[in-house]
Formats: sequence, C-alpha cells, structure tokens
Amino acid sequence: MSVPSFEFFLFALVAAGFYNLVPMGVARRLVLLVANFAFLATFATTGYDLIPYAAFLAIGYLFIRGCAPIQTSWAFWFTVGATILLFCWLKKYTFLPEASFLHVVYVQVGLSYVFFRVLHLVVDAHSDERLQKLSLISYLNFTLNFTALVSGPIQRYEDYIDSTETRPRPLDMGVLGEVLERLVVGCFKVWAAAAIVAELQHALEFQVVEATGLFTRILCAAGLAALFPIFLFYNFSGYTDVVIAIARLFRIELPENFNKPFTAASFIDYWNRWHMSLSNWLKTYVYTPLFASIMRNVKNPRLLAYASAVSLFVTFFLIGAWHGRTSEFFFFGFLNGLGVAVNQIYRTILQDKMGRKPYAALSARPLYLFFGRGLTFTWVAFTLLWFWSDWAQLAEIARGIGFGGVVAAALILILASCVALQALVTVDALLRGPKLDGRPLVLSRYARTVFVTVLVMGVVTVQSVMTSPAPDIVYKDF
Amino acid sequence: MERRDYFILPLIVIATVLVVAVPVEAALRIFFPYSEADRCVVYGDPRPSAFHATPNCSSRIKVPEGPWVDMKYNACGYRSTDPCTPKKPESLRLAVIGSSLAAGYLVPYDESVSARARESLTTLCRLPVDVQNLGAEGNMGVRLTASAEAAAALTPDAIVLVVSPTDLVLDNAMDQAAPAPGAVAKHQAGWIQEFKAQLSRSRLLYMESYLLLRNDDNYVPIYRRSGHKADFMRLPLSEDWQARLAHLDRDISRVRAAIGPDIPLIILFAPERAQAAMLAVPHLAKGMAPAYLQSEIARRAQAHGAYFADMSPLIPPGTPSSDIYYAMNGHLNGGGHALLAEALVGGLFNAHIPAFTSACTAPSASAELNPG
Repeated sequence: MSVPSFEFFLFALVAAGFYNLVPMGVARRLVLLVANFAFLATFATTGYDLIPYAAFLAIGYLFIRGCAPIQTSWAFWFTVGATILLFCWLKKYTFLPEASFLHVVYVQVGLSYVFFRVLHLVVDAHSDERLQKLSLISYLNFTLNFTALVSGPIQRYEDYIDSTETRPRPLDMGVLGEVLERLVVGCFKVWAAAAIVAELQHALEFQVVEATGLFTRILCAAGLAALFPIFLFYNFSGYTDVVIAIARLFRIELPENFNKPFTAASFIDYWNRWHMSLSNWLKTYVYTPLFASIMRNVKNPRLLAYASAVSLFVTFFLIGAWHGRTSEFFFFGFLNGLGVAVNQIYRTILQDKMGRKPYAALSARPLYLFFGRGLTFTWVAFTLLWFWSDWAQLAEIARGIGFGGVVAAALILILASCVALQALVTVDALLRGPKLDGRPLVLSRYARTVFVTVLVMGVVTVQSVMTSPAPDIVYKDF
Repeated sequence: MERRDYFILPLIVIATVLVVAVPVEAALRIFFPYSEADRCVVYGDPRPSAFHATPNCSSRIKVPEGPWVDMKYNACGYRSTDPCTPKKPESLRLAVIGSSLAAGYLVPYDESVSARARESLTTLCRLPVDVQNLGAEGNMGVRLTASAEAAAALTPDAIVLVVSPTDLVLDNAMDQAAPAPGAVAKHQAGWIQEFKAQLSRSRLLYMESYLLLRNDDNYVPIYRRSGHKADFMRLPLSEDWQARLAHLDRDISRVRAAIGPDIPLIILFAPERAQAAMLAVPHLAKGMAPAYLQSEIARRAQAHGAYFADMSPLIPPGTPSSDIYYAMNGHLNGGGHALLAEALVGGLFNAHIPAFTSACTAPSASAELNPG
C-alpha cells in the first residue's frame, strides 16, 4: 500500500473509526494492533515474506525483556551489537559477506524505522525498569505503528505511550479540520510540487549532457543540483504531513520532521531542521554518548572544544551511511560529517576569537544570513549529488562541463540560492505582516481555507496534466 | 471553531473555486475556441437523401484539442480539390463515401484520407488521379445508399466505404424515425437542464477530461466500463451489436446494388480509439477481443463481393492512441488518417482492381485485405 494514496486514506479512516468507537484501553490497543498487522501484511505476498521481520521484532523483544534486566555492560553491548548486526544483515549491507544473506524475497518496508525504535528500547531498557516490563502488545504497536512505519517519523516510546495510553489527544471538529488541512498540504507537496520538480529534474538530467552550448550545460548542472533538495523536501515533508495528520485521527501526536530547513544559515542549523526525528535520535544515541566518552578520556581542555566536532562528524557520517549500502552513500555521509564538523570548528574558532556575544550578533546580521543561507543550501545540494546520482553519472556531467564549469555551476548555485532564499524569507515575513485578532491574517482559518482549496485545485490540475504518476516516497527505500 | 464557521468555511471553499475557475474558464474559451458545427453541411430530410454540403461552400471548424480546419467543398458539395466534372478519359478516380470519418472531419484536407490516398496514387500511377469525397457526418443507413448512388454517378474506378464501430451505432440511428418537432426543446427546458448543458460546454471540464483521457491507462479502463458501447469487443457479441452488424450487412448489400456490379467496392475499416489502444498495447485488452468486429465486417464484405481493408494492423505497437486520435472527440487526427490512407492504398492494390493494377506500380508493402 502506497503512502500517500486513496487506498491508504480509506484504510486509515476505517481503522480510525473503529479505534475511536471502542473504549480506551485494551480494546483500542487491539484495534491498533490489527490495523498495524493488516497494513504490514499488504506488503507481503505470502506469510513467509514476513518471517524475517517477525524474527527481528521477536529478538528485539527478547533483548528488552530478557537481557536488559541482567544490568551488566556485557549484556548491554551484546544486545545493542546484536540488534545492529541483525539489522545490517537483514538490510544486506555490503560490508557483510554476500553468502550469509537470505536469498529469498522478504518484506523490508520500514525496517530501518522499526530498527530505530527497537534499538532505542533495547538501549533504554538497561536503565529504565518500566521498559523491562513492556507488554508485547505495546511493543508491537510502538514498533509497527502503521502511520509511521514506512518512513517515520521516529518517535520515542515515552511520547508514543503518552499520546496513546496516558494522555490521548482530543479529537474534535477543530482538530479534524486541521487534519484535513494537513492532508491536503501533504498531498499537494507529494502529488503536485514534488512531481513537477521531478519532471524538471529529469529534463535537466538530459539537457546537462545533451545541450550543445557549454553555458547551457553549466546552467543545467547548477539547476540539476538545486532541484533535488527541493524535490526531496516536498516528497519527504509531504509524506510526513500526511502521516502526522493520519496519526492524529488515532489521537497520536507524531514528532515533526521539518522546520523550514532551507532557511537555515548554517549546516548545523540545517540538520536541526531537516529529518529532525532522525537527527535527534542520533544525537541522543550516538552524539551525546560519544561526546561524553571523549570528554572522559581527553585530558587536554583545549582539545575538548574539538571533541564535539569529532562526535558530530561520526554522527552525521552514520546518518549518511544509514541511507544506503553503496560507496556513494558512504561518501554522502562523509560530506555530511565534514560539513557539520567544519561548521562546528569554524563556530568554535570565531567564538574563541570574537567572544560569544559578538559572534551571535554577527550571525544575526542580514548580510551574514543572506550568504549563510545560500552557502548552506549549496552544500546541501552538493552532498545530495551522491544521494540521487552515482559516480559514473557525476563523472559524465563533470567531464561535460569541465573543472571550470563545475566551479562556475557552484558559484551560480550559491548566488542564485542566496537571492532565492532571501526572497522566500522576505515574502514569508510580508505575508505574516497583516494581523487579524493579533494573529497573522494568513494563519486565520478563513485564509487557510482559501489556501487549502487552491491547493486541492492545484493537485487535481497537476495530476491531470502529468502523464506519469508522481514519484514514490524516496525514504520508503531506506 | 465557532458555529458560524460551519457555514462560512464551505462558502469560502465555493467562492474560492469560483474565483479561480471563472477566469480560467474565460481564458480557456479565448485560447481554445470550439466550433464543431460545419455550417456547409445540410442536414435535411426527406430521407433517403444523403446529407451533403452546399456547393462551393467553405467553413472553419475546431475542437479545443485540435487546429482550425478549413472545410471546403467543390461544385458538387464534395470535400475535394478536384472538380466533380465527368471523369476524364485516361484518368483514375476514387469516390469515398461514409460519415464524418470518411469526410476527414476535424482534419485539414491535405492530411485527410482522401488527399493522402490521392497523393500516394499520384506517385504510384502513370495516370492522373482524382478523389471525390462524398462523406458527410451522419451518412449511414438509408442515407448511405443515396450517397453510393451519387458516387456511382461519378463513374469512379472504385468506391471506398469507410466504417468504424461508431458508424455502426449511427447506422441504426439513421434509420429510426425522426424525433417529433419540439421534442428536443421540451427535453432541454428548465434551468437545471440549462445548467447541465452549460456545464457540459465548460472548457475547464473539457480540458480537465482531455488531460485525463489522453492517457490510455486512464482512458481504456473508463471506456471498458462504458457498458454496451464497448460490447463489440466482448465475446459472445451482444444482441445489440449483432443487430448492428446485420444493419451493416444490409447497407453493404444496398450500396452494392446501388453502384452495380462493375464498380469495385472497398470497405475500409478504422478502429475506435480504445480499440486502437488495445491493439497497440495488448495488456490493455485483457479479456477483450479488439480484433473481432473487423473480422466479422470482413466476412460480410466478402459475402457481398466487396473488398476489405483494415487500418488496425498498421498501428505501430506501443503507439499511444492520442497520437492518432483526438483524445476527447474520438475522431482520427492527421496521424490516424495517414494510417487509414496507407491501408486504403494497400487495399486497392491487393484487390487487383484492373484500372489500378494496369496503370500503377503497387507499393512495397500492402495492407491486409480479404478479396471478395
């Protein structure tokens, strides 16, 4: 079942209907469990296809209930290591021997996101006795939560249990209106905006090699690099809008994944706004323990300032590497790690030289933000080249425009993105200017109703005009 | 949410739709004009006279998805650049009869089956060739017989009857009693009907439908669900379609009798758009028999001593049907007429009609044809 799709909406509506009809407690949990199983089953041809998935979940549960109470570091590292290894084996990471893999077809959809949830429970269960008594039904509902199964967002168990069992969120007409609004926005992003940008990208992919003039090819290269981040944002944030809205029908509040990422004026800030649930997860379970470990072992206080950069590098390298099993994804991870590490070192040096307050004042200057946003977007677009392309294609493009062309394309991209993002921020500020009852007029329910109606018409029009279906959710494959 | 919002918000939605739709509709009406009716064609009774165009008349027609098309008629009211004077000695003449498809409706004359066939034959033959196109929208049933008589009077070397599945439906309708005067107006009275009529003329809906239906993956499933219309591709053939074939059988017999035994008759078949899509992309035809109707028509042609030529085998595999048809209107476009003309020329030579075999060189590959 594709997400989003009308099939998915119908499924979710029926499930949410039952969920809200039955009394809170075991009955609701059972309805959700059935919905979760039914959703997962739509990806399987036979029951056998789900056996590896079930085994992974069973082992995870065994680790939480059986090994966590042992309370030794050996048990901790064994369960964490085994969970990671099992995940890598099921995902067929290339650093493991090919011969060891299962050579049968089995369901892998959302396995990465299930892995994050299982590992989070395995780690936390060693220090949280409540998790050691986790019931099977709560475990399965949390890990297999169908609203966030395919591509997240990654929710923490405490937040999940708070909105399902402790403090379910209210569901009234106002909330239903917001759900509808968010569904429309999500569908517009996936079915209209991302689809148009993908079409443009395909056209440029052809032009960057085939166009006759060098300048045209350089412009196409710059455009091609710029379009993928925009496509990925619409594709992934649209999906996130849809699943957050659907989860709300089950009174579940999923975490946000995006917060205007392209307005970030630094690469670290960008990662605070992009795929937030993943970066927050990795900060909690990789960055913080690693940084703490370095701090404990490094005696020279001058080096401590750089420990954060090293920890960030490792964390964001892992983010990149997690996306795929090829060398391109490892390089993508390396560039991400490099970006945040250099950003951190730059920040540390400037703060040391200027002082914290002058540095903060500098960072808030309009000109600094103007260039900061453009440079950040360009670096994001540059790292993503290894996300959507491969070495051979990149080499072909680079050969086609030459070294000078690559530099020119980068400069064009920096300048264009500085101007475009400044325009975006300015328009956003202007729109929020007019007020109604103390709130920006554009955020009033009347203005939003107009906006949502126009989006619906946009979706219908674009879907009619497009001869091919909108691209599937990119993160579904991870 | 306040109580008033339950009324205000839906009104805002409707107002937004109108505010966006009205200017778009107006712009579409300006940029995609629509003028379907050919004012030269006289749709008069009494039957059995054929519908015909006013002599030396010209008009312009257009559907939103196509170009402006000039419809020019010669002194006899036939769509031809050749004069309809008596046939000159040492020349070849073809007469085309049938309905709008034969007339090349919505297709510029140079791209129509008549003009393209003339062009090909001029290249292949040593004698001058002229084509008289007597086709006019609605000329099936008894009107076809009248058209055939007029064609025979031109003493052509062959007469071509162009048929499509839609013509078979039309055929039946042409022989029905005419509606009582005023019946149509009464049926359409009332503001609801008027609103529906306006809505059906909406350019926005037309364009929306066009964009949706130009894709065969959307169009064919919708067509398959369109009930009896698609039944000619379902086996066993429905009673309605058996009756339509019987009517065609009767028409061929009448035409044959009207033109006499000396003028060869060629039945030229053009598939429906959905049929062409299924023939080009076989997976779309699952459970259907898109080649069945033409085989039945071929059998009937043979029984009446007529020849049969079929455009269907000439459709290149994988061709989107909107490349050879007007997606919304359903008539063949210029590309479709090129295939139809190819089938006609191939059919003429495979029929071994003496006038053509003696004066022309056969093209390298001829269309599939079942001689009578």
